[in-house]
Amino acid sequence: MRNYAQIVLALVICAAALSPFLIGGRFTYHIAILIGINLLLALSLHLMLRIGQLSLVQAGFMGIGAYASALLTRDVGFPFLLGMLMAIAIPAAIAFVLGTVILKVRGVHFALLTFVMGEAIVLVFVEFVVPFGGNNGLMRIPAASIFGLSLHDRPSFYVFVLVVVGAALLVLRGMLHGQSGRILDGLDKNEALVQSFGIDALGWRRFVFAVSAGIAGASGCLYAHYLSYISPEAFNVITSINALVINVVGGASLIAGPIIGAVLLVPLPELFRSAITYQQFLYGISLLLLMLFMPQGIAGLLRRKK
Amino acid sequence: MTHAQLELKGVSRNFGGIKAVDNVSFAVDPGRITGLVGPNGAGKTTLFNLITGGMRANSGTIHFNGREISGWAPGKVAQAGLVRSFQTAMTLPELTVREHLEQAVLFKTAGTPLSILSARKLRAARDEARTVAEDMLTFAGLADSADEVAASLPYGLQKILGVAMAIATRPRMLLADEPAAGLNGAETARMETLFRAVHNERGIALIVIEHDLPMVMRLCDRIIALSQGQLIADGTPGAVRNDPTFIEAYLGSSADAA
Repeated sequence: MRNYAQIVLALVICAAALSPFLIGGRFTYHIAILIGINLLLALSLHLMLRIGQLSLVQAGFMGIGAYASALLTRDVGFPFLLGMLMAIAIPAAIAFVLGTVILKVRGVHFALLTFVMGEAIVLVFVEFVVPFGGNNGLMRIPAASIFGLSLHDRPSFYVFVLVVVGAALLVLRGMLHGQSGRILDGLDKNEALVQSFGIDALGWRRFVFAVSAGIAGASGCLYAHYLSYISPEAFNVITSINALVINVVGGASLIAGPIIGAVLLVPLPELFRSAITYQQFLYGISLLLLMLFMPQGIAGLLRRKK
Repeated sequence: MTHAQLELKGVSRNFGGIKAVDNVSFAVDPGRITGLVGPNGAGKTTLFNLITGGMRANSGTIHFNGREISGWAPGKVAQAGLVRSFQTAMTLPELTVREHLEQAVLFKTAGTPLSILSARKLRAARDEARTVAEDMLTFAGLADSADEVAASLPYGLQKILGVAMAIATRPRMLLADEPAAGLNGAETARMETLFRAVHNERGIALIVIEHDLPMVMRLCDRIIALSQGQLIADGTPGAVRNDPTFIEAYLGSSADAA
């Protein structure tokens, strides 16, 4: 039964991913691209949630990726793909090094520590006007292009976003299923036990943190080259919280969770611009109801009957 | 030049002003069964945590097979062949008994993320895990419950599974923390038989923390007694049983209560 539900869900997700090509229109592609970018950030947080560590520095890593790629392509002349590679590698390397210290902290303390780190990263973008442009941010970021093929128009950029999201999903699947998944699940459920058999808990957690930062960096790179303009406040803790909401609403115990969450939640503010007065209110009410009646998120419904 | 398998020198650990483990030194020769006894709060579990890396000592050194392991992370200590079992039954949700035993082997193989990148190595590890799990099911007498979810087993079987998982990683020494706690008489006898087999058939050295004194006296060839963090007696079961300090610290108090 569960396999059947999973196949249906996979088909629905694929159909949703391809639907912008049928619907068409600049606005449709715009929403679809935003979903993809937000989904990448939500997936990066999803990895951390699966090892039981709520990281609020994910938007900070997204910012590092965005600024790295923007500066390297605009001012240093890196080709887009190399800029993207750096946008993944730099936050991953930072997470790998910082992880040695901060991943030993758990629970609420980890959330607070990463909250402060996230704010600190934004402050660096604000305070160091050279090279980050301060509060004005960075403008005229070159559009994405691969091997001379421009991704400037929205449909082709959306195709690229789909490719990146697909790659990220494969990485998550590789890590969360199979033996690696068993280990990460064990670290979350009973760390003392899995360690007692020889698991290097810090090593595994640091690996997850680095991959998660890399995915957040990729999200930032897409964001920067899509909008061609970035400013620090886009990467503050609110953005991390939004990624958390996407996970919780969709269901944080399945990879499908953040996908469902992103597809449902990202378009909302864009669609209800006219009802802006009530938007936050309705949004809050629906979140409240969801957490009360669907504590495992929407994807959790798939798991209920087992 | 010492040939001790495990050697503690002046190991201390404080919690605030309390000396949980106070300047404890002893050496254990390879392949022995040692009992670690003492009243509640004597520092036995803290000592295990210090040895297996869950906790850092404030001072002192710990050597295992000639290598200093003080301050090592738990995973690294286990990789060196020194494993522990826990005072309470610990299982992973949803996994069956067989899967627990397989995972114990695979966790040992996949200590670091890089170690399971090779699909060929992972396949070999899975084959090995299946063989070891099958062997351990028979060895620990868990074959009847092999495909049951471990968390649904009776408590005693869960604790036997805990020891079986530790043995599945093929350690050179097992530190067992109160293996008989929470077990009934029959289960305790079963645990004792298992420990004898671990020692005699697998050649694994044991250090057993236990409050069941008759069991520990039968099982062990040496008893180390702790009280208030300090080592107060060390010798054969017969010698320790008659040691006045030990009687006062441990049996005396319970005799008063009775």
